[in-house]
Amino acid sequence: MASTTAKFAAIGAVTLLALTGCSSAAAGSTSGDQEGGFAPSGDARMIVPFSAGGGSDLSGRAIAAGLEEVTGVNISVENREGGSGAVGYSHFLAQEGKDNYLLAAETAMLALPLTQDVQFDYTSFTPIMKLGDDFTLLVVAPDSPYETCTDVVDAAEKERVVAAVSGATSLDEIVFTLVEDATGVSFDRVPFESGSEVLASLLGGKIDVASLNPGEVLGQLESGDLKALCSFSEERYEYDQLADIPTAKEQGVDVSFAQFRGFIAPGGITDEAREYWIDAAKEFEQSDAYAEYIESNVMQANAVYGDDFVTYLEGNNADLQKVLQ
Amino acid sequence: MESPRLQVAGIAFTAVLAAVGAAAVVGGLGYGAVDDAGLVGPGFMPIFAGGLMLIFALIDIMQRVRHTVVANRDAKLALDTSSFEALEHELEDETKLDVDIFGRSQRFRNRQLVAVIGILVVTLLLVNVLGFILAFGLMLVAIAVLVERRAWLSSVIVSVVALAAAYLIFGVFLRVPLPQGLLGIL
Amino acid sequence: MIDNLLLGFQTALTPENLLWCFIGVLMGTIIGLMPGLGSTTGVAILIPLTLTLEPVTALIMLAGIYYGAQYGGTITSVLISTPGEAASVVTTLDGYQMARKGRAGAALAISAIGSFVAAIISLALLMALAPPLADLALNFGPVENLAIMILGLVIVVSFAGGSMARGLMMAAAGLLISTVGVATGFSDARFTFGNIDLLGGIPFVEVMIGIFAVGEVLYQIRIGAAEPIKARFRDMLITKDELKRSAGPIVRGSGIGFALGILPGAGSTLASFMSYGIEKKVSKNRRLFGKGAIEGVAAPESANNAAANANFVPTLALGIPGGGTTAVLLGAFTIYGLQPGPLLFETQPTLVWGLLVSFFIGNVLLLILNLPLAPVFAQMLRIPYGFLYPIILLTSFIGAYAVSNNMFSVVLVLIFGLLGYVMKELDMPVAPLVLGLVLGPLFEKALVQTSALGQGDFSIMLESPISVVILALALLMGVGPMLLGRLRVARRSRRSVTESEKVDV
Repeated sequence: MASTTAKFAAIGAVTLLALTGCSSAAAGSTSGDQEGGFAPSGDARMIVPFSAGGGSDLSGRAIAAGLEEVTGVNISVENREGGSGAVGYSHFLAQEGKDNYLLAAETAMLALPLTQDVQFDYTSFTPIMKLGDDFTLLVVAPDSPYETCTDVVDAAEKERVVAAVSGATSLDEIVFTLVEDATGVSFDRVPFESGSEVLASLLGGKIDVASLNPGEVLGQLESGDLKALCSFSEERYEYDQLADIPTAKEQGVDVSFAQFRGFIAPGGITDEAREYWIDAAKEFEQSDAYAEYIESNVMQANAVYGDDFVTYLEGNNADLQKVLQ
Repeated sequence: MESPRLQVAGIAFTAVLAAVGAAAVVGGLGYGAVDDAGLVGPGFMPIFAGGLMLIFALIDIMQRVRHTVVANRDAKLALDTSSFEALEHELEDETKLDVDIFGRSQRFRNRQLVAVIGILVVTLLLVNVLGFILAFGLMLVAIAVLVERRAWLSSVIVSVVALAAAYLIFGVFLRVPLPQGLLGIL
Repeated sequence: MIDNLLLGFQTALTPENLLWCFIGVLMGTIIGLMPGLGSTTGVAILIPLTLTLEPVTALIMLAGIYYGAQYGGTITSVLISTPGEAASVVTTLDGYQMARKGRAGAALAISAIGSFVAAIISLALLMALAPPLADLALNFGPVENLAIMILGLVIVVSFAGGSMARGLMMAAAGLLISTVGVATGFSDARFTFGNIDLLGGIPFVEVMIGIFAVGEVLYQIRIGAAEPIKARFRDMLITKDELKRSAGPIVRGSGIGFALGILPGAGSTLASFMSYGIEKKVSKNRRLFGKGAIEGVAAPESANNAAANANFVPTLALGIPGGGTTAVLLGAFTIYGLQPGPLLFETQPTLVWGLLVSFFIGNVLLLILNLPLAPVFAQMLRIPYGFLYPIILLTSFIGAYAVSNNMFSVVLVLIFGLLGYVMKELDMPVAPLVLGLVLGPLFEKALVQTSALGQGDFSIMLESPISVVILALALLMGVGPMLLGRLRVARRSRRSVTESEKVDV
């Protein structure tokens, strides 16, 4: 009887060996010590605190692939989702001092400590690189009476305007709160779970306005299923498809807020390790992969590193504090 | 018919659920059933679910208690009128329950169950020390040798083969970063 | 239309695409065989492997994984009562019972056939009607979704088994478990007791692996090794009678699955549960349900496959994912530099139609692969349980770890394994708990949204004609059988006043 089981298992093992032959060869790691004295100990890991397929996952995988290219270090991506990112960041906190761990960071790193009882804030980690900024557009259905963001604000003064938000600490929630603070009006909010759910309810005419990343709505804008009223950015977008959209500021609503995307290392790593990852990130910024990532997600390229990233986080955190507390 | 011990266990389990339901209602009230604007709040679902659980658990307990009383009365009746038939049933149950195809008694199997649960707990504790693969390798060998009483050599061989297959699927093919433990191997 | 189909066949039938489609369904089947690893995880994990391929080839392969994984999950549901994903939980109810009676081959065959028929029906609808159906689906907002969730909860009643109170109690327990963590629209963490890992809630995958796989193993150890099932090869084949009995359930299941699948978010799990619940009400053999009725396998399997296909309606026509796996696939679109959205049909006809035709080919491949393999897989049951269960334990725990990369999941599996064992020992119904757990977050989300839309007033549910119809249906399903039952009891008691009846157990 034992022999039948063994045979059964052995056949399985051989089949799998055949199947996996190619991937294991590709995974063979090369130690990258060409950048001076330091090299990360063993293979590196990129933690993504959100589920596979989302925006954070895309950026985490793009960064991991890009860094793999320039350093030769094998970087595996690990999704640790849950609690709007709290699970992933908390896990990352426990990796203090490990210079072969990275995390694909975004605004949740700042928003979570402000709204929930978590053990970390942005000073617990070592910021490495901010890749770029993702602003939002105010979008409505094509038959909506609103033509500008000013129309929306004026309407909200007199009547009920229903806005969709994709979470209690999400980017669109922050943007709507900033608009409310700037203009003194208020929006009724209906909470959703993701940008795509917001999109569906907007297309179905269940809500009045939404504030979504250009990457999430580009297809609908091109097909004419949605219209964009304004962008909550400092300047107009340079992409052809978005260049005609005025900024909110142009329309008299002085609000701009960007979601940053970047990556961080755990706290307490050595200066050499920090420099190593910053150098690698700078090399990544020069690659085609970086340009492709920024373009396919319709983001604004705006890379900053190390201390500059920390300064940026300080300012951003202060802004968020006003909104979320 | 359920044995008296199972009946008591069933009532106890349902009572625990009733208590959990009640606790959830209290917790939900703490979170707030409705918010300041009169909208559904974070406490609504816990109150709803906990409340339903409490109500149905209480109904279930009542049904079980009534059932036990009725069943006992019926059993007495059955003994009076057709005790032979009842005896036959009992015998049948006994032979069906007691020894399995390997000739193992119920008591032996109960011990096996406890052993397997114990091994699982130890395995999970060992993952942090030995890493996932080694800890679960030990689990396979321990179950084979200690619980199923198989020969050492064949147990180890089967375990190693099964483990290798699992490692290839998950560790290599799917690139799952399995925990390595303090030893840092595998 | 014909041009598009031709274009699709030209794209999908190139040797390269055919090969990757086959590799996809094969790998998907293997992934589905692992407890806990369903199509969503499978597709997400394997995306990196497809990066070197052409976009259309990569998507064809990923779609193959999607189908394959669903079928793989069915195999384990039937053979060892371990569903690969929530949508195949219902299949365990009758599929596993069929296996214990030596009809595993038939159960596997009917699910392959049912899935195939459902796929063909839904693909035809998808190709012909995707854009108008997608627009129709947009009419389902929070209000309508809430009505669907209420209908879903009413369906629970069908799964109560022996005792109604016990079934509803377990459904409530499932709902309660689903409240752990941070819910949509709130920032409060509920019932987490300061545990960071609980912030994300208790995922149903872990609960499922625990209760079904580990719980069943522990139970089997206690009740004694079941005799290996020595079915002859002849017994493994499906009979004409079984085919005839399955025809109705397959067609109805496909319809329900497709209808629920085109709604973003409603999902295939609900479809499988609902189709089972409905068969249990309309079938001539309703007394056999839960004891190995082939209808109880055919209906949910067709439903979840039809839903899986219908998920692509909003995904391709609107750029809005229909379910978890299609969400991951949409993410993959971006990786390949494609812009998902309503224009996809126009800007990427080769890709869309190639993909649609490849769904068809993938399902044919699965049928060819699985009909002959069904009896072979069923032979697995010949392995004595003593050899089988350590392997089941190993794959269960490793699978749970792979889903979240977190040891906490592994601990959850053990906890729910013990709970599952106790529930089996005490004869507590398991399916209502899973349904409650799956519906809980969806129900709460719809509730919160509806409350926000109506500013606290739920009467807006009566303003939407769609929601009114669904609510009426729920009322009918909930109250109807009770009234019928009461009527029947009244009639029977009048007839047998003198006969003292024994109380049923």
